[in-house]
Amino acid sequence: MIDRKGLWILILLGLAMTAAAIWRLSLLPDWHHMPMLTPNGLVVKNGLVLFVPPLSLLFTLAVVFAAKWLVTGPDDAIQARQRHSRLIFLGTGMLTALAQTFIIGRSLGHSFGLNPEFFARAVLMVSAIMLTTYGNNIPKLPRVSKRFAAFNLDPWQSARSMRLAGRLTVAFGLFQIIAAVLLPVRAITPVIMVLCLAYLGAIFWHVFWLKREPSPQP
Amino acid sequence: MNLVFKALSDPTRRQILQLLRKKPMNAGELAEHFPIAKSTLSAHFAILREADLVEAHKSGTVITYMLKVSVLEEALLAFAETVGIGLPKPMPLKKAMGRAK
Repeated sequence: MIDRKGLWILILLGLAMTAAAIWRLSLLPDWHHMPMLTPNGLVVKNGLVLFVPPLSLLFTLAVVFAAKWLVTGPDDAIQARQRHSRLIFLGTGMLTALAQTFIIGRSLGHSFGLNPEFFARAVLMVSAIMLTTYGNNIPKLPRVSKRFAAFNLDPWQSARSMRLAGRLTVAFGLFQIIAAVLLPVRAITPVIMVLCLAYLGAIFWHVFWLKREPSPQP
Repeated sequence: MNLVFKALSDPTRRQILQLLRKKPMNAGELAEHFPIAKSTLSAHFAILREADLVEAHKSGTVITYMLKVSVLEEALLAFAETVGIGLPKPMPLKKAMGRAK
């Protein structure tokens, strides 16, 4: 869920990033071979790597639209959720655009005086801080209904699942900060992927478990 | 945040929040757990609502309270419970022994 202004910013960022990727590819004699400046000198990468940031933005947009389509409820509840997710989605857009600028700049021979490893760790830290802030307020969000009855919970179940989602998101963010500081760069992506799967698994398992348990009546 | 600290600084209000963690309760059910006047308890509810730590649903004449704490507020609640913020100071040993005699 996202407000209209945020959505337009994301769409424009995505279009600009795609245009920049196409422009950089057009300068290459062979798009399979794109030179990249690294601390160890020039290395050759596949030019399609330029489309990773716009595709990740597209994925974010898909998640936003899926979430928007999945829930129904009073306007004020939907708007409160939109305001809450604005930071995370706009933040993701900005970080992705920054990453795209960095990749294109390095492919053109500019190092920006930045170590790529340091840059990757810094981006991970900033996104982790955004995630922690986002997760902290999840339990306070107003309740909305889901389009499918299987996902619908009563108010008590919903409050409990939101509390768990909040705690897990904050824990995820904190773990990401630790990973960004301590783990070797190569190990970070697999660890984060495993964490994502564990996070989703825990949420689904909790909702399934909650639906089997009768809610206490006041 | 000041409102949250103010709300969490009182042991009665913390106990209300701990009870609401188990299940949503109405004012009458909550009052059974405290040997204090209902008007005092109402004031506690008002402070908790002002700090946005509980949500109140009115159906007829019954108001049902439900917990609504963020992750940070929950951590602060656990911290305040562990440290015992706002609890009366323990009696000095000499005085306690004198009482025991």
